Amino acid sequence: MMGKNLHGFNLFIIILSGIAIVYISYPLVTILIFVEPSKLLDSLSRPQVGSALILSLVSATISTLLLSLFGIPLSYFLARYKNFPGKFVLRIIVIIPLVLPPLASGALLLGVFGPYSPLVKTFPGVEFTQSILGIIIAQTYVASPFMVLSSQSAFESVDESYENIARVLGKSRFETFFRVSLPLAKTGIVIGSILSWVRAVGELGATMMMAYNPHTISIQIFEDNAIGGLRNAIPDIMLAIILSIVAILIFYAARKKQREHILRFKW
Amino acid sequence: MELLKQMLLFLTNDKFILFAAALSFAIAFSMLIIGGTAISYQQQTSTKNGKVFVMYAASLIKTFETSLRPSFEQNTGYKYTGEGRGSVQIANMIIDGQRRPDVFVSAGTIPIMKLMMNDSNIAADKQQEQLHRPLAQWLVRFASAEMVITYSPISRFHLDLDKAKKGELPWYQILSEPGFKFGRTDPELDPKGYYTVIAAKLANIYYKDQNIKQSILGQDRNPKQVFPEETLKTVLESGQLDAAAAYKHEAIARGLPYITLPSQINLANPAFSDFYKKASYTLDTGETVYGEPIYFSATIPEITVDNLAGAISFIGFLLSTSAEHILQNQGLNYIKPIIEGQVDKIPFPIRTIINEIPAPR
Repeated sequence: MMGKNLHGFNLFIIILSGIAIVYISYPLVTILIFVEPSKLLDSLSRPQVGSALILSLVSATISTLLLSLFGIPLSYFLARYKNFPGKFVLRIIVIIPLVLPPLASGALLLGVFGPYSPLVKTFPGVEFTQSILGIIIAQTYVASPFMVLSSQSAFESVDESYENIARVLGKSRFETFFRVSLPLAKTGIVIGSILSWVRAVGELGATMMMAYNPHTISIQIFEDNAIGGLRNAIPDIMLAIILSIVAILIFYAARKKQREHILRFKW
Repeated sequence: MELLKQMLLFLTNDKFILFAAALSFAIAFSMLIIGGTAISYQQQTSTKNGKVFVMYAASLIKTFETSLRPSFEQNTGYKYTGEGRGSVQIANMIIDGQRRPDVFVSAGTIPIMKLMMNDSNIAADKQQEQLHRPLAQWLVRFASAEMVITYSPISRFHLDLDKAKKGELPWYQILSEPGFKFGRTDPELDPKGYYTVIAAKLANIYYKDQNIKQSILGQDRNPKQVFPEETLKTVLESGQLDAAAAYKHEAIARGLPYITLPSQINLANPAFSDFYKKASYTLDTGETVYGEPIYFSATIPEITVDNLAGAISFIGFLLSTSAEHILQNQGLNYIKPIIEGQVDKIPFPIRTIINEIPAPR
């Protein structure tokens, strides 16, 4: 494409894409300005950075698994059950965690899970806030729209006639769901999972309210910045970027495997 | 190669993925249940033995997290958990039931007094429902702070600001120049925010010029100047601001140059307490804060404390000579601890420590 026709449409696309790419990547140059290579290893080997990173990874994974368990059925429901009153309200509810500023979500979650709420009084031993559980609650809440909406659109694009054929052939509804609907919607669901996971790792506002301690990597960056400015936070930020790159590589690997899967006509 | 292909085919087989998914769910579920109980169990036992949750004025973040924490943990064996925020915000969070710290370290005494005036209308448990005890009942002042103007060494005004630092130029003139970007924290959330407004009003009186406060600050909550405390160093470093109102210990902690203000305005000298009272700021909630020497104070909020022994240990440590050295190195002025509130409610070990501390030489 490059050598062929640099006029007209191609140029238009390339210029606009170029601007977008520069906009996204240029701030990373700031890292090069502020990084202090001599202090980098010292800063990264602090125990709290390692534990913050692991905490983020583990909690995001648990959150994503929870979202799969509850979010996929919900998205199937939204995709398939079209005629019931109040469907519109449901669609709005699903988007709320996306629309709310994360700090607001965190404050509202504190109302439900905070130290003086009825829920906590019913389960007195459990620490819902300022704990790993609090992190998971916050992450699950804010990342939920990514899972639900992606999966919903994935199910919607699955031709219902495949499901009907399975039913006609005598398969139960459970079997149809697990052997026809779910595999056909796999790409969208996997994308939704990865987006939820990434969103959960990057979550700050709601986590700050629900569980400032123990520190996730986002909060560690926040605190290091508060203590010593950008220079102090740069090592954590670099770590977070490396994590993103790894996540993207996995994402592309998953998508590639998916394409090969489809090409081989193996449902 | 053939083996790899077989493995890949197996891994992408639906049945396997289903199995893997089911296994993950099972694992996640059990992790959640086991984890939830284990975490709470561990926190219960470690709370009784080792975890102290300290909420403190955000200006102390570097001091607390990098210096006090290791020293405290080493000296006492307790595990420190800390969260720094604007002191007024901390008080609000405690009142709203969003946080239950073991220790509250506040800038100024007013946020703790807010707790003292606030009955716990949130029933912590059935018995306390009847009691309506205030959230805090005493405080101990342990260090004093000083208002300064810290500035960015790369600001385009930095030459003038350097001169003001040496006393060659009036600082308020530079701050009033058109295009000068000055920053401070929100007076509704952070004592430093209202102390800044009060100091500016005192400047009007001290320099006998009624325009100073308006020309350097504008309105009290001027959106062009108010920024979150945690971003102080970053906004100055990046050139977003030319200068900011700060405590001396914050400027020192971040290695930034600062201009000292006359004692009559910097809210640091108890000898000028009467003069400081001439300026005030009224919060949205209706309380009026009068100018006063800025003291850092601490309390153990009676109703929210989880680990009383740990809290006592922390305050004892805060009043010790090790902490005194750390705080003084960072630019806080140590004072002989002064108690306010209901003295008889102060835990005995702390009262003993306070009585044994001599006045500073």
